[in-house]
Amino acid sequence: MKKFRLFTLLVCACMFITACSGNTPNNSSGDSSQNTGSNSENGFSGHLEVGELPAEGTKTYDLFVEVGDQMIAENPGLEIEYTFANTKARAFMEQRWRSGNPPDIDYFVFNAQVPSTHEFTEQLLDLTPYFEADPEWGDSFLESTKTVTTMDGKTYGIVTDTHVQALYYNKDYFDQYNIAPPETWDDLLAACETLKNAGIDPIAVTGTYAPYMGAWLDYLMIREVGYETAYEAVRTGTLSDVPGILKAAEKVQTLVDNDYLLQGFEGTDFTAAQMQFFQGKAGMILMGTWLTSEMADSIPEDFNLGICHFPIIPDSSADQTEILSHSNIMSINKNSENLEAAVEFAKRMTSVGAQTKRAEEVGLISAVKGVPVPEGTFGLDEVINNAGPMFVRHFGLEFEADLNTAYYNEVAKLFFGEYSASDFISGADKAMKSLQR
Amino acid sequence: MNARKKLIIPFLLPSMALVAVFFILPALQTIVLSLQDWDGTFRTTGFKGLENYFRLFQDQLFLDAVGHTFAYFVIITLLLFPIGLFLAVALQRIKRYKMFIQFCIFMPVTLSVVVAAVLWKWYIYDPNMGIINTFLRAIGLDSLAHPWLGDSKTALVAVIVMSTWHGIATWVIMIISGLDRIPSELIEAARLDGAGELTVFFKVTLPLLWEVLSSLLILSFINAMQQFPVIFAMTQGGPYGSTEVMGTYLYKIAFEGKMFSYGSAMAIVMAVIVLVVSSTGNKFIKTETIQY
Amino acid sequence: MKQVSTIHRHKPPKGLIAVYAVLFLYCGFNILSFLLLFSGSLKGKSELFSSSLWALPQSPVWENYIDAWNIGKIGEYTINSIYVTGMTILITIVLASMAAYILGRINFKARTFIMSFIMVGMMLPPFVIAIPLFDILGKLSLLNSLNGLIIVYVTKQLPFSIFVLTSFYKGIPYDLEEAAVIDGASPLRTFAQIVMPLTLPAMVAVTINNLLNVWNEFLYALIFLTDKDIYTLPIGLFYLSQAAEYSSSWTILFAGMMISIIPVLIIFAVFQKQFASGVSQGAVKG
Repeated sequence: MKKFRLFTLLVCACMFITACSGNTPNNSSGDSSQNTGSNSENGFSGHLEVGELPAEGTKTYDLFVEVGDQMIAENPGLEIEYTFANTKARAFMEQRWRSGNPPDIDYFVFNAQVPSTHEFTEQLLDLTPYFEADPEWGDSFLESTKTVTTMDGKTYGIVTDTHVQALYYNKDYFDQYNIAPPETWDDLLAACETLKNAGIDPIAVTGTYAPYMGAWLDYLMIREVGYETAYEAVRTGTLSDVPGILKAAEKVQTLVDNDYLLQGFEGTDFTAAQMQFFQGKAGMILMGTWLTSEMADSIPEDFNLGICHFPIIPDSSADQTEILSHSNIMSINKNSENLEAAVEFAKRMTSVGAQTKRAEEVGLISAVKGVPVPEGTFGLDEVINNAGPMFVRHFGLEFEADLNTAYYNEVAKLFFGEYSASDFISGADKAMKSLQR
Repeated sequence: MNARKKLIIPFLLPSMALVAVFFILPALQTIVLSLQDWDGTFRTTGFKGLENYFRLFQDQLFLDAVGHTFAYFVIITLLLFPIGLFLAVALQRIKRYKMFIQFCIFMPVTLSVVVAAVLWKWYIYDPNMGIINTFLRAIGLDSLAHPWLGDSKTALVAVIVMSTWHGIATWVIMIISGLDRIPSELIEAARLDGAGELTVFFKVTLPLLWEVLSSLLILSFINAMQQFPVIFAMTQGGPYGSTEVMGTYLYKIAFEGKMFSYGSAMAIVMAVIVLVVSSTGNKFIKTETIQY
Repeated sequence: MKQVSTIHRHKPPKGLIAVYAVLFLYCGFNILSFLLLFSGSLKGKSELFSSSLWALPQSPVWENYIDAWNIGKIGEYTINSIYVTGMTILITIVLASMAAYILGRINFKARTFIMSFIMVGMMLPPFVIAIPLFDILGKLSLLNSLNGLIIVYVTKQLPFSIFVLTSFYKGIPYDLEEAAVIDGASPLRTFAQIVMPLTLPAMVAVTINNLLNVWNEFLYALIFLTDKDIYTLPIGLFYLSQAAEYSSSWTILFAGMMISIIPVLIIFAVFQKQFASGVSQGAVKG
């Protein structure tokens, strides 16, 4: 009978716990009604939720939080909550926007060149009046950022940092084997051949994240036919109508056929591919300028990093200065309970002081006038200063899961040698056409 | 015994209510959703009829995903059963080091899928540093070294092998439970008749184990149809869709691509496949009450 | 089990050595992979990539563990996971036993209907209900809440638990129960004190199954929890692995993984005898 009693006791205990656990570690951040912020003459108070991109524990994160900490120091009634809003967290953040419970500040909810983000504009704060009220802030941004932050005369966000995709190279290898940073496509092929003969894999690339691999093709396409044409052709599945695109695909095929890509790249994920580059196993990598801050802790001290623009194709009629970029755009929730504090946060994040610190300490590239180009990478100032028109990377497909999956699946087949250049054209057209709505 | 009937409602109600509110109701809503047009920001009530379903059967990526899901089921079943049987029978027989061996067999299942996936991605399958390729190179079989997860021909199998490794303990537990139910006299009798170990296993043990094994077969099917976390954490469906299964594709469409109605249609098709196949399968299996 | 091994003492089966060889190879592989992970968790960030996987850490970097604990919040996630798993398995076993008792031992008209009503839940893939469930939980303010997740998990585990327990309740002889009724015990007492305890082996089996399922559950937690303070371990580790990809802090991830493994392994090592015997007595019939 002892066993019975013990057991009944246990059951009762469970039921008791269940009954009482109504509000144990239950979090109620879903309910922001008690956090009504105020902007009395005493400054800011209440609760502010800020979506942020860098991972906790990185220096970039610390610099981000520093801006908030300063605000809190000046406004003791204010509390700021940071929510990771990058990569895989995006789906849920967007879900929150849809269900009417968004954070006060978020990233990636607007980009004039990414159609899938335009659905959110009704919920976003138009910053134009704030820019007019504080022209110093409004005029502080580089003119080129307006193409991504402004649509129909309204400004739905500010660029807190910007990145261009460019060709990184191992400067020691280039010096050692007398290779100049490749200016043209033929230079690049020659550089690859030299490196290969020296026993170094010429190009580090990941096979597991197709859009990074696809950047090679994206760039070749815009060099051949220009961004606008390539953008249209990719999104509508009409690659075969543009002869230049076949030429671009053939150039990728050359890289594959000549074994210029990192050995085993098919199964190497992007961090590993980047590490292989920094460990000297490969000579070049095409990557966004976020590379140095992302890998800050893993780059060997004595590594000599160089960067140059993606090579040009001299006989092409397209604008050869176009570059692919990725701007991190911060937007503010129009219905925020703490609107003024949110605007203030954005303002401080893009102040010359904060931006300079971010440039100097973690190498982020600023879109604010008067902020120096980060040091440490040979040729970066030249890349930034000679940048032509900037266009959003991956043709803005990143946030459209069906198009993105379909298109980059086909791109991967080209890189994996499954497809010839012409197979790719017809395969991609078929895949993208089937998704036209 | 009539007094017990008073218990019917209070005892059944909590379970029924939970299942009704959090299972049946959403399932019905999914059916409604699948006939609507809810893509993007706000829900519309636009009725689309079966359009989402027609679209589904023209979506090559979905059809491929269905194929991969069934391949997943077949391959993982072919791995789980022989290995599970071997480990279960071995565990039941051995005496020395039994606890140690049992501990080692059960270790993987204590890992969360994400941990197991990262572990295998980095330490076992990595083309340059992984255990497999290092081993192959060490014994001179360089030509077999391979980007296991990076080749469309091996990626699905590679994922399945990892999944088998991770989940085998559950299988072993269930098979042991079946083995324990076999009256030992039967096995003893067979041995006394002079049957060898293998004969005893195939002629006596295996047939008596059939009931458990057939339930496991259905369980394996249901699990395979619902597969998501392993692939999501390991390959995200790549390379170029060669490991895309119904679960991962649905996730991409519905939760990353926000096409809720289309995703719902996909979910309904998935449910129909599971329900039809597993209930048909169930008919072939005798269900009887266990008596102790 | 006992009898089986008695036979073997007299007649050691051929090929036992081969069986041991295979088992040890398998065990060696498992241990090796855990050890490699452990070794990786003690390396420096750039050392992880510059040295071979097989190389031992130059000097153990225990800070990785501190970072995983403080920055990766592995401690918090572990507590969240223990809370969710514990509550789920307790509530499930109580509710399932109640339902199974009725369904297994009392004849009434709607029984078959109710049984199939509940069974449908067992076969529906989680995806089928995920989208509307997100809405429903939102309306009930249970989204982004551990208690909401517990309710969903209980519902998810109920059908299987009821299914297994019902077949056990069916098999329990009726005389015991009748004797209790004659003694004047109330139906509730008869259930709680006489019948339910007899199903203990089955309850153990069901609970182990629920425990493994809930502890590792990924999809619902991924969709329904958005606040990083309340992530469960699988989601916390997943985001840590995401963060690792974007800051190359793999060693912290590995340390976090080790932290999450160690308590489970210890519990398992301590209880593995009960674990295995409980399961075999329980004889899962799924």
